[in-house]
Amino acid sequence: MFELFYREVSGSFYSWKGAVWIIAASLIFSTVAYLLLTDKELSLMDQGEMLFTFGEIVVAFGVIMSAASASSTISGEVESGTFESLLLTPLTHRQIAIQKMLSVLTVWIILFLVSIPYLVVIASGTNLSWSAIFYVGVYGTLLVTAVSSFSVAISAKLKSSKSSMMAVLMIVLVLIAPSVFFATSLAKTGFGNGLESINPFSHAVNSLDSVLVDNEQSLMQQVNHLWPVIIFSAACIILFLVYTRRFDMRGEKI
Amino acid sequence: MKLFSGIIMTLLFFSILCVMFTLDHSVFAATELPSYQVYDNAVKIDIMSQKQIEGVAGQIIKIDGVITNPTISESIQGIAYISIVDLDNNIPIDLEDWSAQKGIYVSSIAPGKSIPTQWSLRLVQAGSYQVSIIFLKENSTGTGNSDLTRPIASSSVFLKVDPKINLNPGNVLPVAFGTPAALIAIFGTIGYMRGKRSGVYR
Repeated sequence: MFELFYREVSGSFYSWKGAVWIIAASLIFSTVAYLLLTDKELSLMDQGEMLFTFGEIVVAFGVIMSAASASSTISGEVESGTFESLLLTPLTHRQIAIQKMLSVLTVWIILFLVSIPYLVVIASGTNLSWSAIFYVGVYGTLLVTAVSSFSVAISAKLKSSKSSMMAVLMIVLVLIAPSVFFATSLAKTGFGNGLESINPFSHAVNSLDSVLVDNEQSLMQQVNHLWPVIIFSAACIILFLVYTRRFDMRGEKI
Repeated sequence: MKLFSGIIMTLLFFSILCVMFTLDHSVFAATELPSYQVYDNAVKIDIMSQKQIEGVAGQIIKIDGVITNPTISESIQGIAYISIVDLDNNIPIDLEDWSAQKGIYVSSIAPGKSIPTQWSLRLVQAGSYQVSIIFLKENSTGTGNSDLTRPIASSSVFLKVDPKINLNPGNVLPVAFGTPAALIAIFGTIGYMRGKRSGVYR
Protein backbone atom coordinates (compact mmCIF):
# COMPACT_ATOMS: atom_id res chain seq x y z
CA MET A 1 0.00 0.00 0.00
CA PHE A 2 2.76 2.46 1.03
CA GLU A 3 5.42 1.09 -1.36
CA LEU A 4 5.72 4.39 -3.20
CA PHE A 5 6.01 6.33 0.06
CA TYR A 6 8.82 4.06 1.32
CA ARG A 7 10.59 4.35 -2.04
CA GLU A 8 10.33 8.15 -1.99
CA VAL A 9 11.56 8.43 1.62
CA SER A 10 14.44 6.00 1.08
CA GLY A 11 15.34 7.97 -2.05
CA SER A 12 15.51 11.07 0.14
CA PHE A 13 17.78 9.59 2.80
CA TYR A 14 19.70 6.63 1.33
CA SER A 15 21.42 8.79 -1.25
CA TRP A 16 23.80 11.66 -0.46
CA LYS A 17 21.82 13.78 -2.90
CA GLY A 18 18.75 13.50 -0.67
CA ALA A 19 20.53 13.67 2.70
CA VAL A 20 22.55 16.75 1.79
CA TRP A 21 19.35 18.84 2.24
CA ILE A 22 19.13 17.94 5.90
CA ILE A 23 22.86 18.37 6.51
CA ALA A 24 22.80 21.78 4.79
CA ALA A 25 19.79 22.76 6.93
CA SER A 26 21.59 21.70 10.13
CA LEU A 27 24.66 23.73 9.08
CA ILE A 28 22.43 26.79 8.56
CA PHE A 29 20.81 26.21 11.97
CA SER A 30 24.26 25.83 13.55
CA THR A 31 25.49 29.09 12.01
CA VAL A 32 22.40 31.02 13.14
CA ALA A 33 22.45 29.55 16.68
CA TYR A 34 26.21 30.10 17.00
CA LEU A 35 25.90 33.73 15.85
CA LEU A 36 22.94 34.42 18.15
CA LEU A 37 24.72 33.05 21.19
CA THR A 38 28.31 34.14 20.60
CA ASP A 39 28.20 37.42 18.67
CA LYS A 40 28.38 40.26 21.20
CA GLU A 41 25.86 42.51 19.42
CA LEU A 42 23.35 39.72 18.74
CA SER A 43 23.77 38.41 22.30
CA LEU A 44 22.16 41.62 23.57
CA MET A 45 18.86 40.41 22.11
CA ASP A 46 16.37 38.99 24.58
CA GLN A 47 16.32 35.18 24.58
CA GLY A 48 12.64 35.24 23.56
CA GLU A 49 13.54 37.29 20.50
CA MET A 50 16.41 34.94 19.67
CA LEU A 51 14.03 31.97 19.87
CA PHE A 52 11.46 33.79 17.74
CA THR A 53 14.08 34.56 15.08
CA PHE A 54 15.26 30.97 15.08
CA GLY A 55 11.69 29.56 15.03
CA GLU A 56 10.85 31.83 12.08
CA ILE A 57 13.91 30.53 10.20
CA VAL A 58 12.96 26.88 10.87
CA VAL A 59 9.37 27.36 9.65
CA ALA A 60 10.40 29.46 6.61
CA PHE A 61 13.11 26.95 5.69
CA GLY A 62 10.64 24.05 6.01
CA VAL A 63 8.08 25.82 3.82
CA ILE A 64 10.61 26.71 1.09
CA MET A 65 12.15 23.23 1.18
CA SER A 66 8.79 21.48 0.92
CA ALA A 67 7.64 23.82 -1.88
CA ALA A 68 10.78 23.17 -3.92
CA SER A 69 10.62 19.43 -3.29
CA ALA A 70 6.85 18.96 -3.86
CA SER A 71 6.66 21.12 -6.98
CA SER A 72 8.46 18.51 -9.04
CA THR A 73 6.91 15.35 -7.60
CA ILE A 74 4.48 14.61 -10.46
CA SER A 75 6.03 16.77 -13.19
CA GLY A 76 9.45 15.21 -12.52
CA GLU A 77 8.04 11.74 -13.14
CA VAL A 78 6.30 12.96 -16.32
CA GLU A 79 9.49 14.60 -17.63
CA SER A 80 11.69 11.58 -16.91
CA GLY A 81 9.18 9.26 -18.61
CA THR A 82 8.54 7.15 -15.49
CA PHE A 83 5.02 8.37 -14.83
CA GLU A 84 3.34 5.85 -17.16
CA SER A 85 4.95 2.93 -15.30
CA LEU A 86 3.81 4.49 -12.02
CA LEU A 87 0.26 4.58 -13.36
CA LEU A 88 0.45 0.88 -14.13
CA THR A 89 0.76 0.05 -10.43
CA PRO A 90 -2.48 -0.84 -8.58
CA LEU A 91 -2.41 2.56 -6.86
CA THR A 92 -5.09 5.09 -7.71
CA HIS A 93 -4.02 8.53 -8.95
CA ARG A 94 -4.95 10.09 -5.63
CA GLN A 95 -2.99 7.46 -3.67
CA ILE A 96 0.09 8.24 -5.76
CA ALA A 97 -0.27 11.94 -5.01
CA ILE A 98 -0.94 11.36 -1.28
CA GLN A 99 2.14 9.17 -0.91
CA LYS A 100 4.27 11.73 -2.75
CA MET A 101 2.92 14.44 -0.43
CA LEU A 102 3.55 12.33 2.69
CA SER A 103 7.17 11.82 1.66
CA VAL A 104 7.62 15.62 1.50
CA LEU A 105 6.01 15.89 4.92
CA THR A 106 8.46 13.27 6.27
CA VAL A 107 11.40 15.43 5.18
CA TRP A 108 9.85 18.33 7.16
CA ILE A 109 9.46 16.09 10.23
CA ILE A 110 13.16 15.13 10.03
CA LEU A 111 14.07 18.82 9.62
CA PHE A 112 11.95 19.71 12.66
CA LEU A 113 13.57 16.95 14.74
CA VAL A 114 16.99 18.33 13.75
CA SER A 115 15.95 21.83 14.89
CA ILE A 116 14.89 20.67 18.40
CA PRO A 117 18.39 20.62 20.00
CA TYR A 118 18.96 24.17 18.72
CA LEU A 119 15.61 25.39 20.11
CA VAL A 120 16.44 23.81 23.49
CA VAL A 121 19.92 25.34 23.68
CA ILE A 122 18.68 28.84 22.68
CA ALA A 123 15.82 28.63 25.22
CA SER A 124 18.19 27.44 27.95
CA GLY A 125 17.43 29.19 31.26
CA THR A 126 13.91 30.25 30.25
CA ASN A 127 10.50 28.56 30.46
CA LEU A 128 10.08 28.74 26.68
CA SER A 129 11.64 25.43 25.50
CA TRP A 130 8.45 23.34 25.33
CA SER A 131 6.37 26.15 23.88
CA ALA A 132 9.01 26.86 21.22
CA ILE A 133 9.13 23.18 20.20
CA PHE A 134 5.33 22.82 20.28
CA TYR A 135 4.42 25.96 18.33
CA VAL A 136 7.23 25.65 15.76
CA GLY A 137 6.11 22.04 15.26
CA VAL A 138 2.41 22.89 14.94
CA TYR A 139 2.79 25.89 12.61
CA GLY A 140 5.55 24.25 10.58
CA THR A 141 3.51 21.05 10.07
CA LEU A 142 0.33 22.94 9.12
CA LEU A 143 2.10 25.26 6.68
CA VAL A 144 4.26 22.52 5.16
CA THR A 145 1.13 20.34 4.70
CA ALA A 146 -0.63 23.25 2.99
CA VAL A 147 2.31 24.22 0.77
CA SER A 148 3.17 20.66 -0.24
CA SER A 149 -0.52 19.96 -1.00
CA PHE A 150 -0.92 22.83 -3.43
CA SER A 151 2.58 22.24 -4.84
CA VAL A 152 1.74 18.63 -5.74
CA ALA A 153 -1.58 19.83 -7.23
CA ILE A 154 0.21 22.49 -9.33
CA SER A 155 2.87 19.97 -10.35
CA ALA A 156 0.13 17.57 -11.55
CA LYS A 157 -1.69 20.34 -13.39
CA LEU A 158 1.29 21.99 -15.14
CA LYS A 159 3.31 18.79 -15.78
CA SER A 160 6.48 20.87 -16.13
CA SER A 161 8.94 21.05 -13.22
CA LYS A 162 10.28 24.42 -14.33
CA SER A 163 6.83 26.04 -14.57
CA SER A 164 5.45 24.44 -11.42
CA MET A 165 8.53 25.33 -9.36
CA MET A 166 8.36 28.95 -10.53
CA ALA A 167 4.62 29.15 -9.79
CA VAL A 168 5.00 27.55 -6.35
CA LEU A 169 8.00 29.65 -5.34
CA MET A 170 6.14 32.80 -6.40
CA ILE A 171 3.17 31.85 -4.20
CA VAL A 172 5.51 31.03 -1.30
CA LEU A 173 7.31 34.35 -1.73
CA VAL A 174 3.98 36.21 -1.68
CA LEU A 175 3.12 34.40 1.56
CA ILE A 176 6.47 34.84 3.29
CA ALA A 177 7.69 38.28 2.11
CA PRO A 178 5.17 40.51 3.97
CA SER A 179 6.04 39.01 7.38
CA VAL A 180 9.75 38.66 6.86
CA PHE A 181 10.58 41.90 5.02
CA PHE A 182 7.80 44.41 5.78
CA ALA A 183 6.35 43.31 9.14
CA THR A 184 6.88 46.63 10.97
CA SER A 185 5.76 48.87 8.08
CA LEU A 186 2.69 46.74 7.33
CA ALA A 187 1.44 46.94 10.92
CA LYS A 188 1.14 50.73 10.57
CA THR A 189 -1.34 50.80 7.68
CA GLY A 190 -4.90 49.54 7.27
CA PHE A 191 -4.01 47.81 4.02
CA GLY A 192 -1.03 46.12 5.69
CA ASN A 193 -3.14 44.96 8.62
CA GLY A 194 -5.75 43.61 6.18
CA LEU A 195 -3.04 41.74 4.30
CA GLU A 196 -1.63 40.34 7.54
CA SER A 197 -5.08 39.18 8.69
CA ILE A 198 -5.56 36.99 5.59
CA ASN A 199 -2.00 35.72 5.29
CA PRO A 200 -1.58 32.36 7.10
CA PHE A 201 2.21 32.71 7.26
CA SER A 202 1.82 36.12 8.97
CA HIS A 203 -0.53 34.52 11.50
CA ALA A 204 2.06 31.82 12.22
CA VAL A 205 4.85 34.41 12.63
CA ASN A 206 2.71 36.72 14.79
CA SER A 207 1.70 33.77 16.96
CA LEU A 208 5.35 32.73 17.45
CA ASP A 209 6.10 36.38 18.35
CA SER A 210 3.25 36.39 20.85
CA VAL A 211 4.34 33.09 22.44
CA LEU A 212 8.09 33.59 22.53
CA VAL A 213 8.49 37.36 22.87
CA ASP A 214 5.32 38.35 24.79
CA ASN A 215 5.26 35.10 26.80
CA GLU A 216 1.60 34.36 25.92
CA GLN A 217 2.10 30.61 25.88
CA SER A 218 -1.39 29.14 26.40
CA LEU A 219 -3.22 27.64 23.44
CA MET A 220 -6.31 29.73 24.17
CA GLN A 221 -4.29 32.93 23.65
CA GLN A 222 -3.21 31.68 20.21
CA VAL A 223 -6.60 30.49 18.90
CA ASN A 224 -7.04 33.68 16.85
CA HIS A 225 -3.79 32.94 15.00
CA LEU A 226 -4.25 29.18 14.87
CA TRP A 227 -7.60 28.87 13.12
CA PRO A 228 -6.69 30.87 9.96
CA VAL A 229 -3.67 28.58 9.48
CA ILE A 230 -5.85 25.47 10.00
CA ILE A 231 -8.44 26.79 7.49
CA PHE A 232 -5.70 27.55 4.95
CA SER A 233 -4.28 24.04 5.33
CA ALA A 234 -7.75 22.50 4.98
CA ALA A 235 -8.43 24.56 1.83
CA CYS A 236 -5.09 23.46 0.32
CA ILE A 237 -5.83 19.81 1.11
CA ILE A 238 -9.26 20.12 -0.58
CA LEU A 239 -7.56 21.69 -3.64
CA PHE A 240 -5.03 18.85 -3.60
CA LEU A 241 -7.74 16.17 -3.42
CA VAL A 242 -9.70 17.76 -6.28
CA TYR A 243 -6.73 18.20 -8.62
CA THR A 244 -5.18 14.79 -7.97
CA ARG A 245 -8.40 12.79 -8.38
CA ARG A 246 -7.38 12.00 -11.94
CA PHE A 247 -4.18 13.00 -13.71
CA ASP A 248 -4.60 14.54 -17.12
CA MET A 249 -1.93 13.23 -19.56
CA ARG A 250 -1.32 14.95 -22.93
CA GLY A 251 -4.79 16.37 -23.04
CA GLU A 252 -6.47 13.00 -22.48
CA LYS A 253 -7.88 11.67 -19.26
CA ILE A 254 -6.16 8.51 -18.06
CA MET B 1 18.29 111.03 5.18
CA LYS B 2 14.55 110.58 4.57
CA LEU B 3 15.18 107.00 3.46
CA PHE B 4 17.26 106.30 6.58
CA SER B 5 14.58 107.68 8.91
CA GLY B 6 11.94 105.68 6.98
CA ILE B 7 13.86 102.43 7.58
CA ILE B 8 14.25 103.24 11.28
CA MET B 9 10.51 103.98 11.58
CA THR B 10 9.64 100.68 9.85
CA LEU B 11 11.96 98.71 12.14
CA LEU B 12 10.49 100.47 15.17
CA PHE B 13 6.96 99.64 14.01
CA PHE B 14 7.77 95.93 13.59
CA SER B 15 9.58 95.86 16.97
CA ILE B 16 6.45 97.22 18.66
CA LEU B 17 4.33 94.62 16.83
CA CYS B 18 6.65 91.83 17.99
CA VAL B 19 6.54 93.00 21.60
CA MET B 20 2.72 93.26 21.47
CA PHE B 21 2.46 89.73 20.04
CA THR B 22 4.71 88.30 22.78
CA LEU B 23 2.89 90.17 25.55
CA ASP B 24 -0.45 88.92 24.25
CA HIS B 25 0.70 85.30 24.63
CA SER B 26 2.11 85.76 28.12
CA VAL B 27 -1.10 87.43 29.25
CA PHE B 28 -3.10 84.62 27.65
CA ALA B 29 -1.00 81.99 29.46
CA ALA B 30 -1.29 83.78 32.76
CA THR B 31 -5.09 83.85 32.61
CA GLU B 32 -5.29 80.13 31.70
CA LEU B 33 -3.11 78.90 34.58
CA PRO B 34 -5.75 78.73 37.34
CA SER B 35 -8.13 76.63 35.22
CA TYR B 36 -5.35 74.01 34.62
CA GLN B 37 -4.82 73.76 38.37
CA VAL B 38 -8.52 73.05 38.82
CA TYR B 39 -8.27 70.09 36.40
CA ASP B 40 -5.10 68.81 38.07
CA ASN B 41 -6.82 68.71 41.43
CA ALA B 42 -9.63 66.55 40.04
CA VAL B 43 -7.51 63.38 39.85
CA LYS B 44 -4.58 62.16 41.90
CA ILE B 45 -2.18 59.46 40.70
CA ASP B 46 0.22 57.82 43.14
CA ILE B 47 2.98 55.42 42.15
CA MET B 48 3.16 52.59 44.68
CA SER B 49 6.29 50.96 43.23
CA GLN B 50 9.81 52.00 44.16
CA LYS B 51 10.90 55.36 42.76
CA GLN B 52 14.18 53.87 41.49
CA ILE B 53 14.15 50.47 39.84
CA GLU B 54 17.17 48.61 38.50
CA GLY B 55 16.79 45.64 36.21
CA VAL B 56 18.40 43.58 33.51
CA ALA B 57 17.24 43.51 29.86
CA GLY B 58 14.69 40.75 29.37
CA GLN B 59 13.40 40.98 32.95
CA ILE B 60 9.69 41.70 33.56
CA ILE B 61 8.85 44.29 36.22
CA LYS B 62 5.55 45.58 37.58
CA ILE B 63 4.61 49.25 37.98
CA ASP B 64 1.82 49.75 40.50
CA GLY B 65 -0.23 52.90 40.73
CA VAL B 66 -3.38 54.17 42.41
CA ILE B 67 -5.75 56.61 40.72
CA THR B 68 -7.82 58.59 43.20
CA ASN B 69 -10.84 60.79 42.67
CA PRO B 70 -10.47 63.43 45.40
CA THR B 71 -13.73 65.25 44.63
CA ILE B 72 -16.72 64.94 46.90
CA SER B 73 -19.51 64.88 44.35
CA GLU B 74 -18.32 64.06 40.82
CA SER B 75 -17.47 60.60 39.44
CA ILE B 76 -14.61 60.56 36.97
CA GLN B 77 -13.79 58.39 33.96
CA GLY B 78 -10.99 58.31 31.44
CA ILE B 79 -7.99 56.51 30.01
CA ALA B 80 -4.97 55.56 32.10
CA TYR B 81 -1.80 54.70 30.22
CA ILE B 82 1.89 54.38 30.81
CA SER B 83 4.57 56.58 29.29
CA ILE B 84 8.28 55.76 29.06
CA VAL B 85 10.93 58.28 28.08
CA ASP B 86 14.45 57.25 27.11
CA LEU B 87 16.64 59.64 29.12
CA ASP B 88 19.83 58.74 27.25
CA ASN B 89 18.43 59.69 23.85
CA ASN B 90 15.75 62.15 25.08
CA ILE B 91 12.95 60.45 23.17
CA PRO B 92 9.70 58.76 24.18
CA ILE B 93 9.82 55.06 23.38
CA ASP B 94 7.40 52.91 21.42
CA LEU B 95 5.68 50.61 23.91
CA GLU B 96 5.10 47.85 21.34
CA ASP B 97 7.61 45.39 22.78
CA TRP B 98 7.68 46.77 26.32
CA SER B 99 4.11 46.18 27.38
CA ALA B 100 1.31 44.05 25.96
CA GLN B 101 -1.22 46.21 27.83
CA LYS B 102 -0.62 49.86 26.95
CA GLY B 103 -3.69 51.55 28.39
CA ILE B 104 -6.86 50.84 30.32
CA TYR B 105 -10.24 52.55 30.17
CA VAL B 106 -11.47 53.48 33.63
CA SER B 107 -15.24 53.62 33.31
CA SER B 108 -15.90 55.29 36.65
CA ILE B 109 -14.22 56.22 39.92
CA ALA B 110 -16.72 57.27 42.59
CA PRO B 111 -16.06 60.48 44.59
CA GLY B 112 -13.40 59.93 47.23
CA LYS B 113 -12.56 56.44 45.93
CA SER B 114 -9.43 54.98 44.34
CA ILE B 115 -8.63 52.20 41.93
CA PRO B 116 -5.35 50.28 41.79
CA THR B 117 -3.62 49.83 38.44
CA GLN B 118 -0.73 47.60 37.45
CA TRP B 119 1.42 47.45 34.33
CA SER B 120 3.82 44.67 33.41
CA LEU B 121 6.88 45.99 31.62
CA ARG B 122 9.42 43.85 29.83
CA LEU B 123 12.78 45.58 29.93
CA VAL B 124 13.67 45.42 26.26
CA GLN B 125 16.78 47.55 25.93
CA ALA B 126 19.53 48.71 28.25
CA GLY B 127 19.49 52.39 29.22
CA SER B 128 17.97 54.94 31.60
CA TYR B 129 14.26 55.59 31.47
CA GLN B 130 11.60 57.65 33.20
CA VAL B 131 8.23 55.95 33.61
CA SER B 132 4.99 57.77 34.47
CA ILE B 133 1.32 56.90 34.57
CA ILE B 134 -0.86 59.35 32.66
CA PHE B 135 -4.60 59.79 33.14
CA LEU B 136 -6.69 61.45 30.46
CA LYS B 137 -9.92 62.49 32.15
CA GLU B 138 -13.06 62.32 30.07
CA ASN B 139 -15.82 64.86 30.69
CA SER B 140 -19.31 63.76 29.79
CA THR B 141 -21.24 66.66 28.28
CA GLY B 142 -24.59 64.92 28.70
CA THR B 143 -25.27 65.02 24.96
CA GLY B 144 -23.59 61.77 24.10
CA ASN B 145 -20.42 63.59 23.10
CA SER B 146 -17.38 63.77 25.26
CA ASP B 147 -14.20 65.77 25.21
CA LEU B 148 -10.91 64.85 26.69
CA THR B 149 -9.32 67.24 29.13
CA ARG B 150 -5.69 67.91 29.84
CA PRO B 151 -3.72 64.77 30.80
CA ILE B 152 -2.59 64.37 34.40
CA ALA B 153 0.73 62.67 35.11
CA SER B 154 1.94 60.81 38.19
CA SER B 155 5.34 61.31 39.69
CA SER B 156 8.06 59.40 37.84
CA VAL B 157 9.81 56.11 38.38
CA PHE B 158 13.43 56.11 37.29
CA LEU B 159 14.40 52.91 35.60
CA LYS B 160 17.94 51.73 34.99
CA VAL B 161 18.19 48.74 32.67
CA ASP B 162 21.49 46.90 32.47
CA PRO B 163 22.34 44.91 29.34
CA LYS B 164 22.04 41.14 29.44
CA ILE B 165 24.64 39.43 27.35
CA ASN B 166 23.53 35.91 26.48
CA LEU B 167 26.95 34.71 25.46
CA ASN B 168 26.92 30.95 25.11
CA PRO B 169 24.06 29.99 27.45
CA GLY B 170 23.73 26.25 27.72
CA ASN B 171 26.92 25.91 25.72
CA VAL B 172 25.94 26.17 22.07
CA LEU B 173 29.18 24.76 20.68
CA PRO B 174 28.42 21.02 21.22
CA VAL B 175 25.04 21.43 19.49
CA ALA B 176 26.30 23.72 16.72
CA PHE B 177 29.13 21.36 15.78
CA GLY B 178 27.68 18.09 17.09
CA THR B 179 24.37 18.05 15.16
CA PRO B 180 25.79 18.35 11.61
CA ALA B 181 28.58 15.92 12.56
CA ALA B 182 26.05 13.40 13.92
CA LEU B 183 23.89 13.73 10.78
CA ILE B 184 26.90 13.22 8.50
CA ALA B 185 27.84 10.14 10.55
CA ILE B 186 24.26 8.73 10.43
CA PHE B 187 23.76 9.27 6.71
CA GLY B 188 27.31 8.10 6.00
CA THR B 189 26.68 4.85 7.93
CA ILE B 190 23.33 4.30 6.16
CA GLY B 191 24.98 4.87 2.78
CA TYR B 192 27.92 2.61 3.63
CA MET B 193 25.68 -0.24 4.87
CA ARG B 194 23.47 0.07 1.81
CA GLY B 195 26.57 0.08 -0.43
CA LYS B 196 27.95 -2.98 1.35
CA ARG B 197 24.66 -4.86 0.89
CA SER B 198 24.52 -4.00 -2.78
CA GLY B 199 28.20 -4.88 -3.33
CA VAL B 200 29.59 -1.37 -3.88
CA TYR B 201 31.92 -1.78 -0.84
CA ARG B 202 33.56 -5.17 -0.19
